Amino acid sequence: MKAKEIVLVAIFIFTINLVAAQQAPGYLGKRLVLSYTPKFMLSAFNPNKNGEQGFTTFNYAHRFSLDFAANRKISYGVAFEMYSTGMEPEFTLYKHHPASDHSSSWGSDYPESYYYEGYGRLNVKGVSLYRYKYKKGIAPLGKHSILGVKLLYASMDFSDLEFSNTYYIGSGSHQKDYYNLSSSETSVMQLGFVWGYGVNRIVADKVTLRLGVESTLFPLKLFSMFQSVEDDDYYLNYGETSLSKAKELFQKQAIKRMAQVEAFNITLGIGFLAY
Amino acid sequence: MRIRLFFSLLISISSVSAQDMSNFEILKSKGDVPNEFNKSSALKVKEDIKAVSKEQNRTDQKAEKLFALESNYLIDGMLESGMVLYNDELSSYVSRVADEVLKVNKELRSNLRFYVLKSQAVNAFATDRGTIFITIGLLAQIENEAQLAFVLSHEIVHFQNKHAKTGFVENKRIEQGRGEYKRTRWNKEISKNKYSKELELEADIEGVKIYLDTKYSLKEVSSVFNVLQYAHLPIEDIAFDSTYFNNGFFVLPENLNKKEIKAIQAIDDEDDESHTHPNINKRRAVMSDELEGKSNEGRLDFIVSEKDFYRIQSLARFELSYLYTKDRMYGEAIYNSYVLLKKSPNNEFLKINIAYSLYALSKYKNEGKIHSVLTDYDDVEGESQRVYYLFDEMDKKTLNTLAVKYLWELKSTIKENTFLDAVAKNAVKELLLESGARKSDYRKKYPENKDGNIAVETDDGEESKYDKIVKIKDDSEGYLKYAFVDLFKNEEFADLMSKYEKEYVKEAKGVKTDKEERVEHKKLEKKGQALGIEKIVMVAPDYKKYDLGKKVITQHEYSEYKKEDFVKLNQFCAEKRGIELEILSNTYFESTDQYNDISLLTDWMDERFDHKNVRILPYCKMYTDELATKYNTKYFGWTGMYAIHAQKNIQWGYLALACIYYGIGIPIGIYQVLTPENHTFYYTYVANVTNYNLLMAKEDYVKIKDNKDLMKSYVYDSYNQIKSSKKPSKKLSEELSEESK
Repeated sequence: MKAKEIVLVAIFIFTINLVAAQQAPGYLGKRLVLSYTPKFMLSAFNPNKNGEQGFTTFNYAHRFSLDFAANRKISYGVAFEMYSTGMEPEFTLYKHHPASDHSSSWGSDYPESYYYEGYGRLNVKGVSLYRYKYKKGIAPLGKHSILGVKLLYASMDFSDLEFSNTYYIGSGSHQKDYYNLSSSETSVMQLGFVWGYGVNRIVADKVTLRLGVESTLFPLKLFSMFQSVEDDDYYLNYGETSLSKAKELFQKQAIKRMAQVEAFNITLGIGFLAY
Repeated sequence: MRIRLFFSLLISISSVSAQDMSNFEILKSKGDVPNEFNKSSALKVKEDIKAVSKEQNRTDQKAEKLFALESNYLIDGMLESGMVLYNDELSSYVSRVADEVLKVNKELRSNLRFYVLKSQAVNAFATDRGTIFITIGLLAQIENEAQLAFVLSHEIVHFQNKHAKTGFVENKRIEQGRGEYKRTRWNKEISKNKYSKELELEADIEGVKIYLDTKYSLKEVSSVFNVLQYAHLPIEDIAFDSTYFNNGFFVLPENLNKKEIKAIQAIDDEDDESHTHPNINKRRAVMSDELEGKSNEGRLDFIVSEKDFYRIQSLARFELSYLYTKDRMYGEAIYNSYVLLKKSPNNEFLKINIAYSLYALSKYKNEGKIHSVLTDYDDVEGESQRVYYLFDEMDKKTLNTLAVKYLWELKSTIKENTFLDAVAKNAVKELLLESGARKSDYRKKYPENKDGNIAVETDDGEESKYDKIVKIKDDSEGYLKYAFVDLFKNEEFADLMSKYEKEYVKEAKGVKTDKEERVEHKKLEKKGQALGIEKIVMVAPDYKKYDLGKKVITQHEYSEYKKEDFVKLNQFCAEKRGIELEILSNTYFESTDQYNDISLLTDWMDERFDHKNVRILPYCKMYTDELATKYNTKYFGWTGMYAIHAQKNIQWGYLALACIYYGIGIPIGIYQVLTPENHTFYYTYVANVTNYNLLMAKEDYVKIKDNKDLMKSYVYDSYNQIKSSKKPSKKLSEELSEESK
């Protein structure tokens, strides 16, 4: 059987199952909720996608989800989400020119250096699986705790970011070259764990409203949000690896940025009780 | 001397009172539902509030309005509970006596309605709206019509002088320390009691005036106080003979028979400072002043009907056995039934009553909770003390054996009584699974001597250490060994004994651990029940909303309105889930049948809840079995929702927190400070009223408002669990398998 057919059969079985199980439990027998949830993430210490920063500016994320009440107390959900956030390079990478290798001080021997000016933008897309536990209410209504896993893919948009490489060309002169980094070269993927708390309401037996707070932690990079991505190793680096190191630094910074953005979100969703 | 006279009089009158009670059935209301049962409480309150005089000061006006509110809802709560009897033999008789008492004041009579309250307490009380209640306990204790007439006269004065309201207003003055109570801040309760006593004496004095206008005997004015003074005693004080339970080889040990009993205390002048009523001595003295010089000539003990009086007295006394048993006062039930059996020795109702009480006592004894259903014998005076002593001292095995023996012997004489049948079988199960008795403890044959006659086993020489131990056990429990010899001839009994003996061994092996029980509970919480019930009757759905920011009357009005919504929501959800639902509403009684059914079912549920975790067939099952047939379902439910809404006091701590966590904390702080406090409690209980099983006990408590979506979610969930039958629940499976057996 081809993959396409398998997917069709799976969708068919899933739909039949939903309809057959419509009578229980859920809200008046309805168990499936399609929803759109914008997320608000404070950009207090980092710029948003427009480069704005402060206590009154936010990053916005869009989440589309499908939640299913498996029993009275538990709902499972699958969601797709995306957002963009600003990313200001916080490092400058130097590379010593071979001509200055033996100088006791830098003096007139300028190192080769990379500069980054302006703002980059981090585009994040992710899929997540959730488990909502309704301790007091009956799924999908009421207060609930959230647990989930999230796979995020982040790529950088450098269109507004200027890269330059200034290096010594002798006779006291320097040359500055401009070049580009492609976003695919600096993309990064991360697995995070989500936890949170929310409350659902249902209006007119059809529309669901959700308010909640969520936090995503990246266990392997647990402290990445607090660390500087600068590394002395790069400062003293030789050879032709500077550009690839720059990519690594961008990736590190992307993870740090995601960790900061995902650390605390306020979610406000609207949905539709489908079946 | 006075006591002896009182009891000899009581016994002599009782001998006249033998009535044919062989077909006694518990009391039920009859005829049309009185209007006041179906009139909205809020409307009654509004009418009463409108009538509050504006000439008095505002604080008193406020107190009167509060009284209108509290009293109406209290009385209506009582009417709706099914505890009240109307148009039945008892209340009709009381009304006829009231007609006689107010023969000369027909206008006053037209403002009064008399109901009998299904309570074992000896009491009567009047409300300001003209409803007068007389309890079953009082009707069971009074000795003649004249005594009833005086009680009614007394209560009529309470109504006439609006004592309930004046007492309430005065109590408010005392609480607030107003007027003459400015200096009585430290003894408010005493002041309240003092005022209450003044009202009681006023009712006595003016009651006598009403009474004097009748032809009833003046002697009874004094003797009615005997009834009040000894209200804590049973209907009669006759010797309880514990040999009642003996037969053949089954002879209860002598040490279970209390040698000396506590004498009845004849104290009529006790310190009444903390009582709401003056002591009997004072009341008698006041009465004798009022009656001084009045002639008793031509005055009678009975005017309406002597025969009817003794009939209603007997009915009340029989009903008392029912009330004691359903209220789990098993010692009282046994003694009351025992007393009545002296006059009606073959009465099946009384025997079943005793049998059930023995069964219940054995259950509670096995659970180690006997004292929750058996009065401490040290607190009892008179002959009935022996009953409490007997069952308190009796060990588990003996009590269980006695219960089984009594039940099965009764079962053999009363055929086709499904209740008795079920209880008798359950008692055998209890005996072998819970009391520690083994089947081998009971002999199938009496000991025989050489002539073939029954003889007691004798010693036959040398005994080992173990023989001696066995012999000691045999001797101490010797009277139990031959308890079932005759019953073993009954195949059904013998089979049950074998069955539960095997089950005991099996159960001992398969005891569930705490962890297993916790896992099961979690699973149940997650999945819910799947009872697979097609039809259910919901009894008296209830809804109460307390919005503390609003006036109390508005809260009640809103609750009444929301209750209708709640009933409709139940119907909507049941229909959506495909369940046949019948609602027995206590807001509007369509018929007296409905009222009586609610009364029985409420009794069943109250009793079931009182039993808590003791797995016992409720006594009320005897009557609810019929309802299962009538409504074509065994499954009855009780559901309700209570919501409280209140404004919070500003939580300065949250505000401070909001400031500290500026940006993140402030929305939480604002939310915490500004949002009101809400509490919502929802419950649904589903039971099979033909047995013990509480199939569903769903209780949800959340700290959110009783929004429509929340209500729908909870109510639908209940019906979903009731209807779902993917996997029959363990409880239902067990029940079905029990039934099939």
